This record gives sequence, C-alpha cells and structure tokens, in this order.
Amino acid sequence: MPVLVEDIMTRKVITATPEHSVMDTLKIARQNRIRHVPIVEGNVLKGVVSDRDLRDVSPSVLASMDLELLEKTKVKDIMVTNVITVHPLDTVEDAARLLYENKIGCLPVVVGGNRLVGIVTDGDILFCFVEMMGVLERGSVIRLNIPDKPGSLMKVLELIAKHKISIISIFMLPAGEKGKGKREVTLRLQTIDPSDIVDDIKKLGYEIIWPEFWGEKR
Amino acid sequence: MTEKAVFIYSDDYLKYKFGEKHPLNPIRLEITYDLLTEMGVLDEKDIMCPRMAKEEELALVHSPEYINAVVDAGRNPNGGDFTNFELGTEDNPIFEGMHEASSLIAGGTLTAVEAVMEGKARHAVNIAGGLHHAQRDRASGFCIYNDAAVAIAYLRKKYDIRVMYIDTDAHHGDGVQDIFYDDPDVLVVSLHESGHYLFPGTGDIYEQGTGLGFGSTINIPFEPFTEDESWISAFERVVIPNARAFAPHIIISQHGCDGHHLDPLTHLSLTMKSYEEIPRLVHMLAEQLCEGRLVALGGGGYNIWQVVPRAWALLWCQIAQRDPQEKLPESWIKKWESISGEKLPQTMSDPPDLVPPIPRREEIIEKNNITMNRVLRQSVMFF
Repeated sequence: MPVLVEDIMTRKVITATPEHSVMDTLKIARQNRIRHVPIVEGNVLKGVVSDRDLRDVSPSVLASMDLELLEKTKVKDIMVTNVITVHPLDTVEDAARLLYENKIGCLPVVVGGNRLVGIVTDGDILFCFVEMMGVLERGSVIRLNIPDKPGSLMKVLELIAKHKISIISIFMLPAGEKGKGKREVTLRLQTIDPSDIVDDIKKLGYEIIWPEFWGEKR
Repeated sequence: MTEKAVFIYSDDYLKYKFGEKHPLNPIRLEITYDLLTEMGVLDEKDIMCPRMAKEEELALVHSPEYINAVVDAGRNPNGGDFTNFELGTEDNPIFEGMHEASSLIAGGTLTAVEAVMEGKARHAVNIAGGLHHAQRDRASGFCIYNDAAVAIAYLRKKYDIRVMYIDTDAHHGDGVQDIFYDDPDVLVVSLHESGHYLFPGTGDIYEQGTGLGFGSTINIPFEPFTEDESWISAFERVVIPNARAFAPHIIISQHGCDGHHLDPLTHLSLTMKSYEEIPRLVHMLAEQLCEGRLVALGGGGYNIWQVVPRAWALLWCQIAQRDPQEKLPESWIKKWESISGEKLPQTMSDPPDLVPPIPRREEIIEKNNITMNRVLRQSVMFF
C-alpha cells in the first residue's frame, strides 16, 4: 500500500472567495501564515492565489502605498484558474513529481466536480520524507551500491542475517546516470559495530559508499 | 577540603566481559592500570575499591523488569530469550554473572561520587564507568547498566544539586540524555560524531530536552574526519560558556577515547592532543565552577593497545596533577607486546604525521563551525 495524498493532506483548508478583495486575501494569508489560498465558491475550486501572485500586485514598500487599489481589486481578477490538482487516492510520489516538474508549491486536492477536500504543499511532502528517513530506532548506517541484478540485495541481507543483526530500515534508489546498472541501498542496522558486515560486503565485490574515507568531492 | 584524587579500581572489573571476540575487551582496563603503575604515577594510596550498586540504586534509572532480566540472564546464560531487552544480541551477549559485574561498575561510579561529595577526595576517576548507551528498560551498545545515569540520579535524589554531564565519547550519550531529558537541573552535553554517520543515530542539535528540561540538553555533532583543532574549538566555544551559565555543583565527565584516528569503530580523526586537552578543560571547569568536584569516567575505546592506555593515563595524570612522561616505560611495552603480538607506541604523544591529509578538511571545519554557531544561538536564550 503506497502512501497516498489523503494520508498527508491538510483537510481544514483556509480559503477565500472570488469576490474577496486582494487586500482581504492578503490578510487571510498573513494571519494564517500560509502561502497559498484556494479560491472557492461554496466548496467548488475556482482558482488559487499564491503569496507571489499577491506580492506581484502589492505596491512596493519603496513606492507610495496605494491601498485603495488593493481593496478595490477582486481576487477573481488575479487568481490562477488553470490549477493543477490531485485526487485523494493519488500517491505521494505523484504529488511530489507534480510539484517538482511544474515548479509549484501546492496542490489542491479535489474530488468529483472540482469539490475541494484538502491541500498538499511542498512542506507536507518534505515532512513525509523526514519521517521516512527519521531515526526512530538506534542503529548504524551503511550505504552501498549493488549491481542491478536479481538476487544481489538478497546476498547482502543473507550476510546480515548470518551476523544475527536486525535491520531497522532499508532505502533503495536507482544509482542515477553515473551509476548505470547499479542501485544505491541505505541500510540502518541495529548494532554499534557494523565493521564485520562491511568487510563481508566488500568481499562480495560491492562498492561501499559509507563507512569509507572521504576522498575529493564527488 | 582534601586535594586528593582517587582512582576507583578492582580486578573484578575484568569480569564485565562479553566474550573473546567482542570489541569491548576489559583487558584495556588492566593495560591502563599497568601503564600508570609502571609510570610511577599511581600507587596504593590513590586507589579506592568500588562497591556494588544496590538494586534500589539501579532502579533510580532502570525499570525493575529490565533489572530482573539482567539478573535472570546472567544466572542462566542459555536459558531463554531476552532480546526484548536487547540482551543476547551480537552487541550485548549474555554472560554469566552479568548483573554482578555490571553492578560493580555502577557501584564504582557511586563510590567515586560519594568520595567527592563526602570530601574524601577532590576528584575521582572510574575508567570502568561511562556506559552511556544503556536505556531505562534495555541494554544498548555494549552497556548494561548506565552507571553515569545511576550516579546522577543518586546525586539528584540525595543532595538535590545541579549536575553537569559532559560526554566526549565519539558516540552520542543517548542513554544519559533520554533519562534526564526533562530535568532542568541536569545539563547533559554530548560532543560526538554526527548520528548521520555513526551509531546510535541520535544527538542532533535540535534535541534540546523537553518540558521544564527544555534547553538543558546540548548536542554538538561533528562531521566524520574532524580533527583536533576543530573539535577542541567547539568545546571551548560552546561547552565552557554554557557550563559557566549553568553553574553546576558537580561535573560528571565521560571520556570515551574512540574518537581517535586509530579507533576501528568510528570515523573521527583525533589524536592524543585531544585526549590531553579534554581532561585539562574539564578539570579547569570543575576547579572554576565546582570547587573541584569532578567524577571522570571511561567509556568507549576499541583500539585497546595503541589508544586506550595512553588516553586514560593522560586523564588520570591531568586530574591527579601527576607528570606523564613522554617516553613510555620499556617494561610495560615489552610485557604487553609479548601478550598482544602487536606493536605498542613508544611515546605518549602521537607522531605528527599520524593522520593522513584529509581531502575535504576545509569543508569539514566550515560545517562544524556552522553547527557550533547554531548550537550557540539556540543555547544562549536559556541562560
């Protein structure tokens, strides 16, 4: 079961309506310390304004303040209407990729007929990542590259089992452009002394990234 | 008040032994003791015998279930599964008489604390102590009973005084931190290799205590391959002002020497310079802030031939104000070389080229400075 948008989204969304003035919307954003305000009619999503949209239409602090204009302008005239949204059953990976590829900071979560049920921000994704990487149990870290072949991770796991050491977490990534044909594995093991395991992994011919002496910049 | 320093020691300390192949080999205590004796800086009248810690003293920090498990496991090493308590793992194997051996070490630290508090000694050193990973309800990282925590809890209960704990082991002092995390009268300071690289993984700068104790935990994590100068400057810049502001009544220090370049378990690049300087700084703080009241403990140290005896000999010499000779005694070298089959160091200090040039040295120093500044910024607000 992957982690889903509905697992990490904020359900109580702070919103404004298209008829709100830019000034009021700016106040809503500041008071709630948020950077994105979904604009709704009833509970139907009509658009989004970000702190940048609001800043773009605010007078410069260096120029004379024309507050009247901010009060007169309606938010519907400056909001973004072609909003990128997600569904509660989208995965967190999907949400992360949308944020990253479109260089945006939030994704309103909508269901049938554009009804707003939540919001996911880059902060929520980061928090999810912090939790996944987080140290919940005491252990030692080993990072290594294994060949991208069936059974290569198994060899490492068998070796750890032979030492009767519990695995706290495993994190596996494709090794990227430079490491074609390899996969990068980060293991957290329940031991203060992983040195025997590291030696055994080296004997398999696998490349240890940590613990290893730091050479020049990668 | 007496000017005396005492050395807590007994041959029975050697019974805290997990097995022949285990990295924590208690023979390191004997090699150190022998070096001090051969150097002529330790004699009979400096030595005080450790007492056993009572079960109710252990229970000041450990759960009764855990103590019972240690007792049971030690009586019948093959008689059951104690892995819930992290006993019987590769790190913490069960051995016969485990409870008694561990109680003697905890008792040794209590003996040290009593000697200092009752005015029998100005300072006390217990190199068998410093088992800082042991948690309230389980063993961890070669540590069964947390002698430092037992002694701090004893001081808090019996005297209700402010205690500063300074931990300079390469590993984070997580057990002591967790046990006093909410106590504003125990300042727990740990300097260690970053948990992103080394066991136990904790000890980040944002771990600052909880509730009333918020601010009374200070962590200084170092990058791997940190060298003497960067390490010592962090101690001077962060630990000294915080110690002054906290104004402890007594200092308990943990002197694990596994941050040495030659230690097989960690990745710091310290030399004997640090292990000469750390006791000097800790001793200075105790004199300036606590009328000398200082209990210094051992801790990690897994290069038992080249590093541990010299580091802890320097610890004793600094605290007892004895003169360590640069040239180590021939007799000591000969005896232990024949036993170990290893080449032993000839001098107290390390050769200047011991640590190879660290390629990313400047970046490591810069990152450590950023860490120090962050810790300083968040700690000044509490005092």
